[in-house]
Amino acid sequence: MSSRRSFLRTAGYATAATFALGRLATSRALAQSTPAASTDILVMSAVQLAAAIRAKKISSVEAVTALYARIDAVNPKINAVVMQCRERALAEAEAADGALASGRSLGPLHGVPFTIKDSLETAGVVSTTGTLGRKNFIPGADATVVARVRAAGGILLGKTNTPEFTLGGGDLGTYNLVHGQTYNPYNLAHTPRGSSGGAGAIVAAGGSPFDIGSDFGGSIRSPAHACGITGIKPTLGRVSRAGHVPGYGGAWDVYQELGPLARRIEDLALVTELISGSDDLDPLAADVPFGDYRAVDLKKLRVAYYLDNKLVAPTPETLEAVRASLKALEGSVASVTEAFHDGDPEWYELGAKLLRADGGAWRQRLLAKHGTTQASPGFASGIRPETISAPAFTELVEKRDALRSRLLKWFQAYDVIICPTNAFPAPSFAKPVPAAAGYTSIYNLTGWPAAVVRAGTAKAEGLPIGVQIIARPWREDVAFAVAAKIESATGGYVPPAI
Amino acid sequence: MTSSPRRRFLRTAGLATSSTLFSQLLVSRAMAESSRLAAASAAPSASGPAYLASTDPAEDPVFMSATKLAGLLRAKKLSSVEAVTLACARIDAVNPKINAVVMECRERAFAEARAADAALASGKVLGPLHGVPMTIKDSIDTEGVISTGGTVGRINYIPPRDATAVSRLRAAGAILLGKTNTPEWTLAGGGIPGITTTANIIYGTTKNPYDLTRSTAGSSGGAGAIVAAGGPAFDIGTDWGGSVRGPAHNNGIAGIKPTYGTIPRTGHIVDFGGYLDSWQELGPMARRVEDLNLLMPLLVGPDESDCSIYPVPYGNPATVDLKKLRVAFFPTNGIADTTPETQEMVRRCAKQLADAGARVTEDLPRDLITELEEIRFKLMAACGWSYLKRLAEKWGTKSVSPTVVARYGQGEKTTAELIELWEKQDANKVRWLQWMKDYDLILCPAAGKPAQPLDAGPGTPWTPGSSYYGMFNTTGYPSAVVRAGTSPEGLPLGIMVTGKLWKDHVVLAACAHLESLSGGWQKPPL
Repeated sequence: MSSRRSFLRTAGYATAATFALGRLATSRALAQSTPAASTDILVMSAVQLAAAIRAKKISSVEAVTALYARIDAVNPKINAVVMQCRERALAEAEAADGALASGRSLGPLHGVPFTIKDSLETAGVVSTTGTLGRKNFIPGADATVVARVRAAGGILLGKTNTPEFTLGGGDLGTYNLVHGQTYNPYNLAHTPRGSSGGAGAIVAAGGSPFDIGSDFGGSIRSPAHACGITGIKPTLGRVSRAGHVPGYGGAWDVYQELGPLARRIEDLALVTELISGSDDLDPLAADVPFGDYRAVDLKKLRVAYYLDNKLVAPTPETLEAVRASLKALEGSVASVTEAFHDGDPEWYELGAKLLRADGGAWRQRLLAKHGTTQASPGFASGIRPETISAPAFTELVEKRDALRSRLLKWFQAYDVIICPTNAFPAPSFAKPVPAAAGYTSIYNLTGWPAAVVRAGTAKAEGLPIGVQIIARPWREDVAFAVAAKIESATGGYVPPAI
Repeated sequence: MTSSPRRRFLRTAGLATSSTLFSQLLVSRAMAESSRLAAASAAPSASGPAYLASTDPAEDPVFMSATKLAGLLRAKKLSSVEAVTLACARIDAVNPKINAVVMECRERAFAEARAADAALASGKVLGPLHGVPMTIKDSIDTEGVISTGGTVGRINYIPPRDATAVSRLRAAGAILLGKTNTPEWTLAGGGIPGITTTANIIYGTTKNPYDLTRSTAGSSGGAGAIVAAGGPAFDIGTDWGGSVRGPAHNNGIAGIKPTYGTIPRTGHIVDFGGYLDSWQELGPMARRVEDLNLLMPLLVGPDESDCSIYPVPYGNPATVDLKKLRVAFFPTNGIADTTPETQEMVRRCAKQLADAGARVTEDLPRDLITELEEIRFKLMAACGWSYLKRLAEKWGTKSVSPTVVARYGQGEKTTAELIELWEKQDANKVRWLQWMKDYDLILCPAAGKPAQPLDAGPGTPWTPGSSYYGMFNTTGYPSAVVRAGTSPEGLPLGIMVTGKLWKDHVVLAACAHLESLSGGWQKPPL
């Protein structure tokens, strides 16, 4: 790490230290369980923290200071936060406290700190997206989602690690040549998965109430699972991707969506709605009504579940987590049926063929566009000289879309799908899991909203297990309602011992 | 081109039923000119506030808007059997000249009309289109009625179920009279060398009702011609590169290509999917803009099969305040050969919106258009038109239109080039969104010229910028055409009004205003 970089990362630290108040003493004693209404800044939900700030029980400066102190304590071990903007954050916190003192609220996240995945552009704060060509790149404007969270009163603490272009993680989960490896806060010998691994790790470790990630094949949901928190990939078109690197558009456009990672489902509901809607930049982002998850009638929901995607069988503890989730819903929903759409095996083959169809020319364009001459091994592995013809490629696109259509028809019989997020808990660095172990990318193909909440534990490794909850397109409210029910029954997030 | 005996039989099936009703028809016609209809017209909102009020001055049911006709039917001033009878008689009178309706289902139509009348007699209204006759473009599946899509492999294909759009219209009470002509798969651009209109190997060429030697444009040329000529109240077309708007312009009617993602394509011969998915939309075509307002809310929203459809709530055109609109206009794109009368019409329409209080600016996004069109032309051919080959294989067509065969393999690129073009297309869309931040509407010509002669030889080659339509298929914007002028030859001229994504109702509100000043549709001399 360059000296300039370490300077930037600790810039404002002195300022922060001067704000280290008595509250820190209490927040350091991490709760073993999660009380419904925690008073601990490091454990409470963003919704709770926002309420406490509004009620002037906690100042924004106190919150920002406590979280930076926590980042200082855990980040040397997990390397999740890779860039900070302490001076600005503290100045904004002071301004937020000042505004509140004079009776002005900036929005539902007034004074609430947050972090952002490094693939999302943040005005004035280096945004590398894990590629060397952007090592010192300072964007002039915030990504749409960042601008919306800040306009609602949120205060950016810093950026969280991602593999190169969010796509180069491979077996390491979240690793790049700029910022190195991120570790799982529950077990440092394991990855946090990826690509929003920095986000998953720091939110789980209590250094940030929420983060916003991107999900092209499971990049929000796998880290949420591996780090025992919640996360959602919203419906395709719900959230603008403007300001994400890689950009949107092109042959893979329909896979990519942005969404929050947080410790509590109530935070996903708040943040997803805040960042949703059209923006004159992303043609797919539209203004579709957003339902209140607290108004969903569970009694009307037809739930399908499956335990095996016919690619990689889940561990027994993963199955236990799914069963615990089903048990939480028992008697509260209209029906629970074991049913699998059989999409994964076909998609696994088709999706890989499509991504390789041009020999990785699209990856090379990304490197060239951002001035990167040395790619990380995980990203470069997608560049190989095998190509197929344009007629064959466009036929594959038609087959892909026929599969999307078939899956939509299948889903007419249900309102919700419950299934594993991954077949395994977070893999160790020593023993990688198969690439097909994710149960996630099929829902990037369909574009349906898919949430994750912790519902179990891999006891030997001490690792969390998250269950995946999928709802029909545009029904994030249904996914949240079911996930909240599971969360309240299983306890959801449990702070790591780190 | 003559049709086979079987086809002729199918096309005239139910005619006997219709002729037995001919006497009733004459009675109805006579009565139509009586005070009964006049009274009904004077009280268009008598049917209640739940239905759109009509401003259509037409008094003959075959030229009336669907909105007005539906009101008459609900008020029992006219029966559905009478409406269907009159529409069929009009088709019989004009179709031998224009060859627009290529398949009919009269027996079923009359049975449905009788059922509609009976339902109404017992106080039941099936929906806002109760008893209203319609036709449907032949590329859209209709249950029980041959739907060829202009391809020989489907010459006798009877779909087992209605396309989503058709089933929604029938559920709202509309009655299908028959199918309207389209080139092969809607994509064959004439299908016969030297003819740039709606034609195919199965049914031959459709003619323009304003001048039988002129083109209807395509691909919804059958729909455009018969709606202009009178008979059905409306039709549903599809638009991948101007296929609703071109025929609306050439035939002097109104039509809209809605925002991409509005109406499911399920049951269309080119349905959801593929690398050009975002270009394709279904849209209503009618004589009056009020009918587009009536039909759009009935057609929108997701179904079980088309993955591109968003449940964006449909806006209410009655709430649109023209004074708040920011309008960009350009009388020519500087590329297409555009007649002075066409340019004058665009300026007049711009002034009419300015007079209504809109903020109107002449602004041509020439760079955006040029970039878009160059990408669009490369991209559509980048797989060597292999999707057309696959359509031929899918439907078992061996005799493919010569214009299609001529395209096979032309313009093929590598997959890397194709994917890069795809990225460039989408980057251009973002530039358009940024340009559109300053405007609510774009006014421009629908086409540079009115309907051209059918025997104009091979015609001018299709080149980037030569058409005004395709740019709004690529951007996905809602784009409508309504007649707003007349060429020196006496042919209709359409204005194209285009809006922001999901603001179809704003587009139609502006179209309705322009229509009210120009008069819109005029009866052809048929």
